[in-house]
Amino acid sequence: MRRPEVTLALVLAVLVLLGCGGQTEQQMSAGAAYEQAQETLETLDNPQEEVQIFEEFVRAYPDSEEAIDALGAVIYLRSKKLDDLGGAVSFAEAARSMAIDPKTRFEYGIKLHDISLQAGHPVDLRRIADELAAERPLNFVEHLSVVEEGEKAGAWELVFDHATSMGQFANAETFRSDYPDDEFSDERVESSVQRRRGWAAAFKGAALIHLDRLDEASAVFDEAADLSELSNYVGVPETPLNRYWGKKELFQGRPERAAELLAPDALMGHDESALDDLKAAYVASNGSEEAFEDYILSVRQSIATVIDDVTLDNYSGNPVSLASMRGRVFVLAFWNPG
Amino acid sequence: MELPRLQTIWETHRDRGFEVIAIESNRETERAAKFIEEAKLGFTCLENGEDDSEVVETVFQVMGYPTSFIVDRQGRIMYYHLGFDEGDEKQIEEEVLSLLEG
Repeated sequence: MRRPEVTLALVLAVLVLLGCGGQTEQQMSAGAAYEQAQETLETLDNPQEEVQIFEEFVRAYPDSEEAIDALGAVIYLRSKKLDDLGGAVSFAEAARSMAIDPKTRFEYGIKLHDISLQAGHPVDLRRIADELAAERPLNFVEHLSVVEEGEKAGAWELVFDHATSMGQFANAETFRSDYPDDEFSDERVESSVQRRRGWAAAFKGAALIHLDRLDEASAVFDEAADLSELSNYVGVPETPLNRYWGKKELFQGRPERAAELLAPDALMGHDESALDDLKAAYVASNGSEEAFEDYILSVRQSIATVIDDVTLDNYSGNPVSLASMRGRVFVLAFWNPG
Repeated sequence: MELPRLQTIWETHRDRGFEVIAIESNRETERAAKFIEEAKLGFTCLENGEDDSEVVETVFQVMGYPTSFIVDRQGRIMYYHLGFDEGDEKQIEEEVLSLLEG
C-alpha cells in the first residue's frame, strides 16, 4: 500500500518531467531562503531565537537538502544549548512526518534515531531503513548510516545485515557508478574500494562478536587481513577494522595480539574505546594496571612514524630542512590563513 | 586559532631545545605573511612546495586544518592532533614537556 504523500511525490516528479519545473524553483528558493536565514542568524545571539529560525525553515522547506542541516542545528541547539532533549526529539519526529521524499525521511530518521537514543527511547531503526528500502535499494553511505546508528543502539542483527550489504558495494564498478560525474584515477578507485571493504568487514566482524559468533568473526577478519595496514601517514587506521579485530582477539584470550591491533587507534587515533580495550589487554597480560603509562610510552615509540626529511622555503626564500631538527623536540603545524 | 597558542608555548620552552615549524598548505603567500607578521610569530614558518614538490598532502597526507605532529628528538611523530579547540594547547604543552623531559 502506498502512502498518500508518496503519491504526491510522484505527481511532483511527473510535473518536473513535463517541464513545469516546480521542483527546481522550490529547490532554488530553499537555497535562497536558507541564505537569508543564515544572514538573520548572524544578528542573533541567543539559542532560543536561533532555534526558531531553523524550525521555521524546516517547516517551510521540509524536503530541501538544507533542511537536513537545519534539523541538525535544531537538535544541537535544543539538546546542548537549551537543555531540551525532549523538544529535540519531538521536533525531529515532526520534521520526519512533514517530509515526503523517501531520502529526506531516511536522513531525518537517522537523526531522529540518534537523538531519541540519547533521550533513552530510541525509535525503531529497522523501520526507518526498511521504509527507504521499500522505495529503492540503499547506497553504501546509507547502509553505513544504519550500521553506525545500529552500533550505538547495540542492534547487532541489524548491523550485521547492513554491513553485509555494504560489502556488495566494495568493487570498482559500483564505486564509479556511485559518482557518475567524477573521473577518478584507477588508483583512487582502488583505494576507495579497499576502504569500503575495510568498513564492511569491520562492522560485520563487530556484529558477529556481539552475536557471540566468534568463529565467523574470525573468518571475516582473516579475509580482510590485507586491509590491516591501511593507515594514514602517522599510522591512524583508515577503517575501524583493527579496532574490532583487536576486541575479538581480546575476547579470545590473546591479549598480546589484541594490543598490537588496538594500539594505533588507541594512541594515535584518540579512540577511547580502543584505549579501554588496550588497557584490558595489558591487564590480561600483566595481571594489574601497574606501569601501564610506561607501557603506553614504549608502544607509542615503537609505532611512531619517523618523519620524512623535506626541504621547504621560509618567507625570506631560504631553504629549511626538517632533518636539521634532529635532536630537538618540535611541533610541525599545518595551517592555512582560512 | 592554533598558531598564537603555539607561539606562547614556544616562547616558554624554546631555550630547552623546543621548536615550532608551521607549514602553510595553500601557498597563500601574501595572506600568510600578513598573518605571521600581525601575530608576531617568531618560530619557523615555511611555504608548501608547488605541484610536484607539494608536500603537505603528498608526503604528510594531511586531511584537515589545523593538523599538528609532535616530534621527539629521534624524529618520531609521537602525538597527532587533527583540528584544534580552545584548551587543546594545554594538552599539546604537556606532550611537548613529556618529550623534552624524556
